[in-house]
Amino acid sequence: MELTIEQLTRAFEQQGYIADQETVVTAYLALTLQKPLLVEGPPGVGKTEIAKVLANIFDTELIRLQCYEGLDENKALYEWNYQKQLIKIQLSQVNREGECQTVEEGLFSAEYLLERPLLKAIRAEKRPVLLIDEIDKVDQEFEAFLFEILSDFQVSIPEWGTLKARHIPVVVLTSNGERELSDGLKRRCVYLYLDFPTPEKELRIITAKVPGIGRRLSLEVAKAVGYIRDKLELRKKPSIAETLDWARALVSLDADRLTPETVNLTLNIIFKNKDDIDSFRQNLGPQELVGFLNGTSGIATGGRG
Amino acid sequence: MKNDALKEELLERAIESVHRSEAREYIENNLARFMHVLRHLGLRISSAEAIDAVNALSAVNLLDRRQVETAFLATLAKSPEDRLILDRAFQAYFVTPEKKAERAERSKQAREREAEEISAVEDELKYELEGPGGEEAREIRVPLTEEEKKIYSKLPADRKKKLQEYLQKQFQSNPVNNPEQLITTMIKSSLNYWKYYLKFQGEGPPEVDYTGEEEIDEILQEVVEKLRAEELVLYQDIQKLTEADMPAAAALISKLSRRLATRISRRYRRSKKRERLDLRRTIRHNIRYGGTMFRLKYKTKKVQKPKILLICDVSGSMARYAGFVLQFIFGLSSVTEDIETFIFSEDVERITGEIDKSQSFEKTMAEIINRSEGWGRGTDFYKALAVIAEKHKGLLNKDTFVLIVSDTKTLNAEKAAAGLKDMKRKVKDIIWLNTLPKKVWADTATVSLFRRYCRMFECNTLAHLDKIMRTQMLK
Repeated sequence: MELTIEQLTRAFEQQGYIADQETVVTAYLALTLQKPLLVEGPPGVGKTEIAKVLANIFDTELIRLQCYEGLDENKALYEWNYQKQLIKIQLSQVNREGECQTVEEGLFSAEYLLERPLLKAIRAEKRPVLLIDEIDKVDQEFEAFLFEILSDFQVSIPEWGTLKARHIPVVVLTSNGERELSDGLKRRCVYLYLDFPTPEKELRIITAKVPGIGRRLSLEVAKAVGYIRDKLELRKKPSIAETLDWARALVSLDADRLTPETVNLTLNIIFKNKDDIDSFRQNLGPQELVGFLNGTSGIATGGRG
Repeated sequence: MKNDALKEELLERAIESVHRSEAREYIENNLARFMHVLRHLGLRISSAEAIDAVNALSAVNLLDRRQVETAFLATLAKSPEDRLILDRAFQAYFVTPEKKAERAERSKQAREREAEEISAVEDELKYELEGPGGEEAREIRVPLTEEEKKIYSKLPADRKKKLQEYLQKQFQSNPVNNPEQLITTMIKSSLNYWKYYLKFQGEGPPEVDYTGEEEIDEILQEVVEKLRAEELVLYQDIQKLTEADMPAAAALISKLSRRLATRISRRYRRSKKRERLDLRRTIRHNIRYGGTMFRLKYKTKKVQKPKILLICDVSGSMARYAGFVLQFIFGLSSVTEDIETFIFSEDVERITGEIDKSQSFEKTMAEIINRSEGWGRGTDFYKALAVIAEKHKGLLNKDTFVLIVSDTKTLNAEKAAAGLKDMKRKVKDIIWLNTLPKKVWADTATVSLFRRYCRMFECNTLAHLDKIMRTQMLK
């Protein structure tokens, strides 16, 4: 499991995850200090992907806990399979063979336990990667419960006693910053802020993920998306996934560079709501965008390309 | 072996004799000082995090500046805002000795300049006084404390000149009893006003808490200057935003309010665990299983959206801020219905129905301002409270959050405080967004008067507004 920073950098590359040094070093620190890695940033910059890549690197299971409002311990830790227990009781009443005692003992065995992600991570045979996705969605009580688990990695099931984790899992928490997380949780984590990539980084991502794309087109797409994120106040800024979709769409249209026409045809791929499309047309427009790419920006033609 | 240990100890002692232990350039000392700097810049760093940082440093390559900074960022800065501050502090703190010397020299010069200015004060603030009965005129210096001298030295030149002229002219041909005392009081009270004014003007965020230690303060100064020079809209005092900042600020506000709005409009059911079993529904649902309680039904409670009652001060001193808060609320009202809005100055006015969603904010605002007579007038908070309590009783109930935006400066403050106390009993919570900088709260009597009956927060930047909304309104 022990890797050096250089090895980890190479491993990230092999997995096709283009990461800057800060990301790698922070992930490395989380692994060495055995602390949860808290990744914050806008949607679509590859926060969740880090956990997946780590699971691949260590060739281990990725256990995912998707958070939502109202998530509780039953859904996160464990639950007794109540219906199955009931059936068992009813059956034993019909047969009347078994002793009462054995029936009761059997009712709280592993057979009737519904393992949820947290318990699964604690009982895993091999050190797993535990991804707690969108932690900012849960309420504060659950957050408090969570960081108790994250600091001890043990749970108590009243019928069984205390269970201690076989291995301390690699924990990755992600947050969109919708709600301020508590200081207690932050204190326990190593923190990484992922922002939208620079055009250079995005170019590398496009080249790695979109086969058959021409050099010029990939460069122009990366620059264009960066410019759009920078210049326009959008409801939803285009994420990396949308950049890649756009690049793929352009490739399938046999484009070798961006022109106002192709931009116009593919707008729906980068902007996902009407307000943003309107905002693009009003404030920037395909013509000016392409103009910027060709270094002749400033010829404002009213933006209606 | 033993010899080695002995040698080491001797060396240790030799070092100790040269420097005090906390002043030595050990890496631990250096780190502790760095964290000290960060804490004074407003970062909250626990001891556990400090230990993490040291552990993290031992895991990275200490010769790689980028890696060292990443180690700090990962363990000490836990929000985008903190990261920005830490980065600037890192650049300022870990510098070459030459740069350090340069900085020390710069700040030494600045201090010397200041000292010169202060000593010049005595010469500038002197006047000649003729003794009673035509005695020879004597030269008198106004006795001032060090602090007062400092304030004087910071005044703009024309103000200084005015004070000097005042000394020269006023009392020479106008004999009064004990003129010295009178003049001193006049000068002092004038300086006192300026003290308040200068403090109020402030240098703007980020908040920094100087230590009094020269070396550290130099670093703090450098970081703060750098951050201020970058002029982030989020941290600027709203009043100081220029026209050019407006589009960015407006976009930021609508983003903040939209984020909050999606949270408010989402209704969810509380977790099952804490709820009571709904026996009636359980039995009905389980008849199909022959009465075996196979599927349990729980009583669920819908979470109520908070009702917001906004009382906004639009008097002269507040108009600029009020525009921003109203804009924030305008964004919210596009998803929630339950926002009651009042504006007050000398009179109070209900503008709830007038926030028309189909119109743009600018248009709505212009209409309200044109029609409203109170915009930019004096302030009577007591009257506002009294009218709301009397005519809009129905709005005050236990689901209501009252949000007051005002700088607390009002007529009838005592009565208003009583009115606020009365209101507090009827509503869920009262949150007061005070646009006065926190530094001057202690000097403002009305702040402590109102503070007793509500939770008061400093709110003069968009960052403040965002934080209050996220942490207080929607927990």
